[in-house]
Amino acid sequence: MSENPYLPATVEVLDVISESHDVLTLRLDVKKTSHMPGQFMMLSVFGFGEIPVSVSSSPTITDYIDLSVKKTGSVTSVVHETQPGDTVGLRGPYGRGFPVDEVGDNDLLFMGGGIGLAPLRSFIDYIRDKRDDFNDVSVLYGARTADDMVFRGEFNDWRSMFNLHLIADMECEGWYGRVGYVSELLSEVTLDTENTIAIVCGPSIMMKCVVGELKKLWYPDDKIILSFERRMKCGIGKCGHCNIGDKIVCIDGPVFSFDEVRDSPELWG
Amino acid sequence: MKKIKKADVKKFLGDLKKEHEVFAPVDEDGVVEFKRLSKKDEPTLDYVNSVVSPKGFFLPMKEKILGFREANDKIELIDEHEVGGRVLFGIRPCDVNGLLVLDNVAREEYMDPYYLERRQKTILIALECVKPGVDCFCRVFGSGPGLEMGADLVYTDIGDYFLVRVGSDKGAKLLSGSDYFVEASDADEKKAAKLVDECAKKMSNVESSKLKLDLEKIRDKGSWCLNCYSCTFICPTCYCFDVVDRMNPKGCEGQRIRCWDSCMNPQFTLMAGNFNPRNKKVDRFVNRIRHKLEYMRDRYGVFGCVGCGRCVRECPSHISMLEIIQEGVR
Ligand SMILES: Cc1cc2nc3c(=O)[nH]c(=O)nc-3n(C[C@H](O)[C@H](O)[C@H](O)COP(=O)(O)OP(=O)(O)OC[C@H]3O[C@@H](n4cnc5c(N)ncnc54)[C@H](O)[C@@H]3O)c2cc1C
Ligand code: SF4
Ligand code: SF4
Ligand code: FES
Repeated sequence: MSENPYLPATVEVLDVISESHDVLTLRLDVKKTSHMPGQFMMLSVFGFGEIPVSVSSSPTITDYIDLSVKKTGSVTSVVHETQPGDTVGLRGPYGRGFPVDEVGDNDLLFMGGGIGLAPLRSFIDYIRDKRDDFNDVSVLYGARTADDMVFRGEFNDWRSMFNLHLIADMECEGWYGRVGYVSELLSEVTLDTENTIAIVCGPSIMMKCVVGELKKLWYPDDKIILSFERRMKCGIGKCGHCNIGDKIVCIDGPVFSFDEVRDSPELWG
Repeated sequence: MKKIKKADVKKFLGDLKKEHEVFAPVDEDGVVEFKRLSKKDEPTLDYVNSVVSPKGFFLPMKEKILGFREANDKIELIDEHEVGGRVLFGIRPCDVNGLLVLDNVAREEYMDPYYLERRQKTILIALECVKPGVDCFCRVFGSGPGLEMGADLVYTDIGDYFLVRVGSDKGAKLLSGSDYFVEASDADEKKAAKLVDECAKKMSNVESSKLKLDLEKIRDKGSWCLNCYSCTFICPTCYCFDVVDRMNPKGCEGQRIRCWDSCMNPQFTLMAGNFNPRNKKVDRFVNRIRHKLEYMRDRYGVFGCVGCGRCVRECPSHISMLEIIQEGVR
């Protein structure tokens, strides 16, 4: 992209895909992707603002990228009015993503909560497309209700290759699966904790709880990988908004291993 | 080394004005601020320091970083940032060092074009200090009262003259084209060094290399904080900004603006869903102090405080950065 890192590219929206009652995916006309799973983009709706959003598609896909956005506030509400053919602004990819090339022979345990599945999906689909390069994969996913689960269209695909387990926080009509918190799904999988890397993304409270459960299973801190969220204004280490202690989340993260941040102030808020 | 007669400084600035916008400290009703010199302005050269640091010349309180226009269903982006050549005359050593701190942030990983272009196009003529202000503690960080590097020219008050040291090629050029500068003697140089040294000796000193913050005491002080943000806006090393989009009333044209923000602002870290990791005032206060005295030191190798004393002077709760440092070096 351009020399001015604040200058977005204008990008056409190819398609808008509904993922749940309050999440949609913008499929964007970006042909040459340079992102790695876990990285994010700064998405502009001109006149309304700019927000950080994880790339939710795998870099193995080369004719578009997906950004999946939950409607939560002013900018995301406008994003939800986007139509195919509209133009949005985009800069990035930014940040340090998941350690895709460093997992080696380890098994992988993905744990996602709500919209936190978005960055994980980029990695999970990457593995789907390069299945032979990776060992055993489990995906544990929880959301408030079944209606809040995103990427449901891919669950069958994932089930055929990975151990997929779902859970909803509360009972609701049409949901016959487990009810409870995502950490409870740990009982569904047998883990070789010494040789498994856990990759976690979700609301702060969920990540805190999951880390607690993983520690009970004697997980080493450097094998717990977390993707953090902080208010961001620039995405490039300049605006001072996103720090967690001495870490600048937008350029040092958003992905950290637990041993890197264990002692940081306000880690879970 | 050269020197210039005090009476000639105004004439020299007059010459500079022919080619540059010249800014200098001006005393208006007892308040000193950097101001673009007009014909009737008299620069103040024996001041302690400006109320607000001159960082705004590089990181303005508010600036447009992008324009956009919608026409025929197409969005056009306007990326223009014109910056003219400027001279900042009379900037204090602590504030020059403040800019050297900010440079680290502007250059890390991604270059900040707006800030860096202004840095590159601005000539800094610094004025060393020979008389400390009551709240000054630059000596703690070696960011004053003398200045080693960072300015194009360095002036020192030696009585009837200013001793003038060249700090860069740009600075040398300014001298070579001017008749007001004469050769300084060894005695002049010794006098300047002595005055700066004596000034330093009048200031508090603590060994900042031994700093280990006393977090309990800092939390205590944080409980007095009124959350007024003054300290962050006037500080030469605070750089946090917010970004907002503005549409014109017709709705087809707008701007993206960045403006100063403050880490003391409760909404600074507020996220969608009402999750605020740094919700407590005391935590915000501790973060500000640790950011300056630990995080920046560990990341860039320089402290994020240059001891200018502004926050000490302006804090309505009399919270003293120097005291925090002193309590951390025991
Ligand atoms: C690295 C990263 C990746 C993210 N990935 C996704 C994703 O894939 N899908 C998704 O739906 N959301 C994602 N988010 C969260 C998303 O950025 C916020 O939901 C969004 O900024 C809210 O904007 P708003 O204007 O609608 O909300 P408002 O509450 O109106 O917020 C106003 C402004 O505050 C800032 N802000 C508010 N909440 C957040 C937040 N949670 N994180 C960062 N800045 C915030 C933004 O600058 C925003 O414009 C991600 C956040 C980060 C930091
Ligand atoms: S923290 Fe206070 S003393 Fe230090 S540079 Fe900033 S305003 Fe000056
Ligand atoms: S100037 Fe003092 S009272 Fe105001 S925000 Fe800073 S520390 Fe708090
Ligand atoms: S988002 Fe601006 S510093 Fe991280």
